[in-house]
Amino acid sequence: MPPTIDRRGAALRGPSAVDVALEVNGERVVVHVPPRRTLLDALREQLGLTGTKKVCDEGTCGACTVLVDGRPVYSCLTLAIACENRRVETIEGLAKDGELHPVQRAFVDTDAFQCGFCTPGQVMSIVALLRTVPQPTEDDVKRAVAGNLCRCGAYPNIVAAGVSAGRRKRT
Amino acid sequence: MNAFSYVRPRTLSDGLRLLRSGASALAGGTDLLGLMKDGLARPELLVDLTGIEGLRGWSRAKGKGLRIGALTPLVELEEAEELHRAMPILRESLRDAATLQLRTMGTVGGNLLQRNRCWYFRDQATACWLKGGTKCFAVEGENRLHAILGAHECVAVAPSDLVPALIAYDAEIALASSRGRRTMKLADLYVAPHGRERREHVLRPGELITEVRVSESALARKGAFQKAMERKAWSFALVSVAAAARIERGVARDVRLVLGGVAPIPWRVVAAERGLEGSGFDEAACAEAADRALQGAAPLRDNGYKLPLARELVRRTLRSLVV
Amino acid sequence: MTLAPPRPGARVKVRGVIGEPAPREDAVPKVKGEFQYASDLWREGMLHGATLRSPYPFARIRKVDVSAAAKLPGVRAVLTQDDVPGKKTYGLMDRDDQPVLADGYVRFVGEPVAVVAADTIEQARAATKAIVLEYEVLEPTFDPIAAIQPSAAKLHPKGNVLERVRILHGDPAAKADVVVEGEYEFAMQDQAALGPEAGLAIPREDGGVTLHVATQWLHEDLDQLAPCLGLPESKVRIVLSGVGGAFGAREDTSIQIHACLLALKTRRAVRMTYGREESFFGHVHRHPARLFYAHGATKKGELVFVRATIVLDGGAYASSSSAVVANAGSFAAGPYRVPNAVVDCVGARTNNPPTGAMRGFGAVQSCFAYEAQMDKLAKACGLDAVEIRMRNGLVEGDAIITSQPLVGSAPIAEIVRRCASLPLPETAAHRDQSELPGGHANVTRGEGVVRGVGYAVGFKNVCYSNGFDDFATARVRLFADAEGPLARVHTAAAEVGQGINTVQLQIARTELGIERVELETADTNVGSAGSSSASRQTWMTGHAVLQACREVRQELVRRAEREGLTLDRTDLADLLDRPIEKTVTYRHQDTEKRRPDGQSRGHVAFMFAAHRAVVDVDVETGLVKVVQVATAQDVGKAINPLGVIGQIEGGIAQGVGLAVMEELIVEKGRIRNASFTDYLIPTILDMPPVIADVIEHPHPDGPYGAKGVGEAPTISSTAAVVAAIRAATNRDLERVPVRPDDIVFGTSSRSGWRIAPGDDPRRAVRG
Repeated sequence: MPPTIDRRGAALRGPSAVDVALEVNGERVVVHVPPRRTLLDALREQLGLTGTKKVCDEGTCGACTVLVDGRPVYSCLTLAIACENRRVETIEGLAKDGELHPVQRAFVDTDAFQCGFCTPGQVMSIVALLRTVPQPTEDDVKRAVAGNLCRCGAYPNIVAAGVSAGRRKRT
Repeated sequence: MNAFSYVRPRTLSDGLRLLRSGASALAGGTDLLGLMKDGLARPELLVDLTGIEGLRGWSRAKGKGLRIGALTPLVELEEAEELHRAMPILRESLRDAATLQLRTMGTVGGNLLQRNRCWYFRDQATACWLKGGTKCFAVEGENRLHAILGAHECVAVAPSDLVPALIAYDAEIALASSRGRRTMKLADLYVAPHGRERREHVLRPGELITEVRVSESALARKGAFQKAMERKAWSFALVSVAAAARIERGVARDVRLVLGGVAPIPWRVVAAERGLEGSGFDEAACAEAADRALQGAAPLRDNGYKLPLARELVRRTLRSLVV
Repeated sequence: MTLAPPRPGARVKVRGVIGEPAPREDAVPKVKGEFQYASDLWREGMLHGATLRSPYPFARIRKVDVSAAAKLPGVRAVLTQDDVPGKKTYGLMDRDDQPVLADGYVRFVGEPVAVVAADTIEQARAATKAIVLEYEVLEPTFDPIAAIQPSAAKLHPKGNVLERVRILHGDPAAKADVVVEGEYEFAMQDQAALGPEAGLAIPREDGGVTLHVATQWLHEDLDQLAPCLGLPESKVRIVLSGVGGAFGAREDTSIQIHACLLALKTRRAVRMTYGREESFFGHVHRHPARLFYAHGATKKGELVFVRATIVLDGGAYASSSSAVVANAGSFAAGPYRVPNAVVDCVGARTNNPPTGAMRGFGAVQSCFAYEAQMDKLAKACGLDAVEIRMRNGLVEGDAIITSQPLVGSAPIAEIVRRCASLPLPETAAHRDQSELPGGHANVTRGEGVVRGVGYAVGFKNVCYSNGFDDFATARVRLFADAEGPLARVHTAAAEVGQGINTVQLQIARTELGIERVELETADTNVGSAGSSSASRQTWMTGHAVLQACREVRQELVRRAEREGLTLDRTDLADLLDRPIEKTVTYRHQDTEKRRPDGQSRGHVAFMFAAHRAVVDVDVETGLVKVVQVATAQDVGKAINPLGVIGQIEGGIAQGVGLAVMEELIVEKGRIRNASFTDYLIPTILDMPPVIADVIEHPHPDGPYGAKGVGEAPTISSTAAVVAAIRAATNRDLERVPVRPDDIVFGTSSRSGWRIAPGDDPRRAVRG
């Protein structure tokens, strides 16, 4: 459906589904979604990127954390349409050429999860942190993931993972 | 979430024009999307303001005070070193607000207009007074998080951490609508829901906050902010306190004292401010101010603890201005 | 039974055997976001299921009309109780008192009344709203003590007493020099697993159904599911999908029966996933409790008697209340030598949300009370917290109040002593703001802060008790492919994050002496492994895998002998022209059923842990920061030391949460804080540093001496934190979680019932 044009020229889109172009993990994709579709649902349901988790769906748990233009956001409180032409990074985009990202590697090595449901969100938060603070302290890591709940209580190892990932380099 | 149309205007004038009846303004979405998911907001049109140039960022021109664009993400206020030097209370109040992700998404304007977190209000199945029902369920219900001061028909509390800090600096806001512009004191934006006013602020339909301003003279104040929470991060204030004053040779002038989490509006306590005027924030003066700040408090069944908590927090915050 | 030690026979060193810190086997897919959790499942053309739930705590359904809902676009099926083809009720372990869909009555807010399948989730939800229901609202009962009085209205045909355990041990009228009493209240905690209840049901051509689901106990799901569907068990297969945490909440079924009913009705795959709010209404919670205690001791602080009456609120349906009541009663005196005891423990049916299993079930509730009592007693006798516990701690050969003697280690004095000797955290001097109570940034710069230290010890059974036929099956297949020998292990043990999969692999590698071991997906095509609960999987499935591997090994030895070879010097692949497959069902030693006086050798084994908590309390504001938790725990044998530490830290996180923040607020039967905005669980900043002393006193019957691990950290950590807050504040703090009000005002929370400890709570007096 062509966009309805408001009488002064601004393009009203929706309420039915429209094409939205996103850059997801370095690839340009177009999703066909109504404006009410959250980025989280678009990733999970439209693009099959189910690594980003839906837990609270209201911005209180952090499991849906992705990076938009490099910064960590809750994708459950972000509309997909509002991310048009923006850069979205999810857990699926981290490993390159079959090799884990240093943060992923650190999570494995330090046993920084149990059930793993919060892990993609935790990892994305720490990936964002390392881009601005390459060698974070324990306190830096805690602050970076204070918005990511872990019910298994793997917190001490998450801190260890964040700190040790800062010391690693991608080989 | 209901179905809606979406538009992302490029200019403020387009944005204002689009904000007709049935439309809602979208910035960070951290509050609005939650309200929509709970069926508490059902806009037909969302006007995404984030494409509008000129409403993002902050500036401080010499002698002209501080201007903060309404679309500035909270995290920018928190991180900017120059801003921190000019007005440290901003970082102090934002560090404990929500989470990094929410501060990255959320904007200053949105923070000022966030709705209350009362669990009856947020519950879609409860038709509380604020939503047009006949009674406030918290008054006789589960009210440990509710107001001890200043409430009428609704006992929900003002949730923002940033707002008390800004009010302590006499912040003003610039407002715009398709009919024109106006400015007001930020403190005047808020209203305790009562009578026919079943809302928390006096923003007019179609009106936007475009800017927050703090005068140069207010920036000369020293400020402090404290927030008591039930856990170490990511919870709304049980009680928060923002205090500011110009301190000249140990004597306090232009004292401001504003509490969050205790009343339906950011609770400024002029009587306590006056009592501190000219004092040196000595122990006795701070303790007396703390008592005054809580004058008239009427705790509900479960929130009596807020009284000593608030009193102590006020005292400590005031003392921290000089110690 | 004594097991032979693992054979050192492998020619090359095998990595990933028992005792080595092993990364979890599912680690890489989990960090890559590739691990398929139940809510990630997807099928082309699948339908979406939604549930209509009762808004009332107690009501009779006068009328149900689904006709309008059924006509809505995209709607494929709308089912109510009439559409359940088989048995209309279900429940754990034959306590089948819960209707699959409301049976003419609703008994709690959130009870499923109807289910819908539609093309999209939005359509399914819209259809639930279009179902017309007329209710006749009935007078609900929320007070569990009121519910069990003879005069109370009957809330269910099976009555309001879900379970009662009365324990009489020694002389019920024993007298003591020093007597301390207390009434305690324990609020409702939620498991709050992050993964929502979810599953995908796929109809089969033979009229059966395959269900992929996040559960703790595949075969118990099957036992409940098949009769309700009216299908033989052979036509129902349940497959474990990825589980996003469990902690007891997945012991009961949630979407299982509903999703299968919808799939069978529509002949289409149906996915059901609860949203977060619905999850709070759709799973059972930890039992809230009222506990009335009296402890008597000599002047030297040696226990003479314990009398306790415990009432647990089971909510509207039985769930696992019987086991929770049995545990709360059985462990009511703690890990202490108590010559005389009277315990009366009742699980009440109310119109509150149903409660059931959560980590440490029953043992956590009584531990909070008996450890508070031990501190009171210490004070009355002039002893300190460590002394009184060491003086009364059970030792091997002692009997608990059910007269069961302890076999294997019972190192109470040792764990208390070792816990007490762990380093304390630094005091005030260089404390960072983040270490102080309040927000992360500030509130106090040290004003009003008082440090407190508290101790608690807890114990609990490992595995199922009281005559339950507890078993686990493992199938191990050893064969050779181009790369050499490969073993595949198949069990139905539910990996819920606790690490049982890694443990199974470690055991198989150890026993078979090969590194290449893989796990089959857990499902009902192999015998039951029992539940991932009661800290039992390492013991049970661990044993089954161990024994199956040993049978495989014996067959290898036979083959080698036939060929005239020595196994240790032979390439295993040479012996594997035919695969070897062995299936073993392990049963632990029989346990006795409970006798009428509550006495029995009802348990298989016990686990023990001691906790020391250090807190800083801002006594002016009532805010608390847990600064450190130290623990000594006897795990028997740390099969995966990495996993053991994870379980200890995780259990403590949940115990700390309960101590200072976690509470489901139930108002007139309705959960008021069914969200993560309002039900607070600890963040990373609330998590104290944990120092753990892991003790390995092998249990003679455990695999390699291992005991259970997972529950012990939650049992006494809560009690230790509250003890520390008491030490800092001098408040009694008889209720958990501790709120700022309790600290600032010393609020006491009385039930409004007078019950002498040990008396039957079904004869309580108001006042």
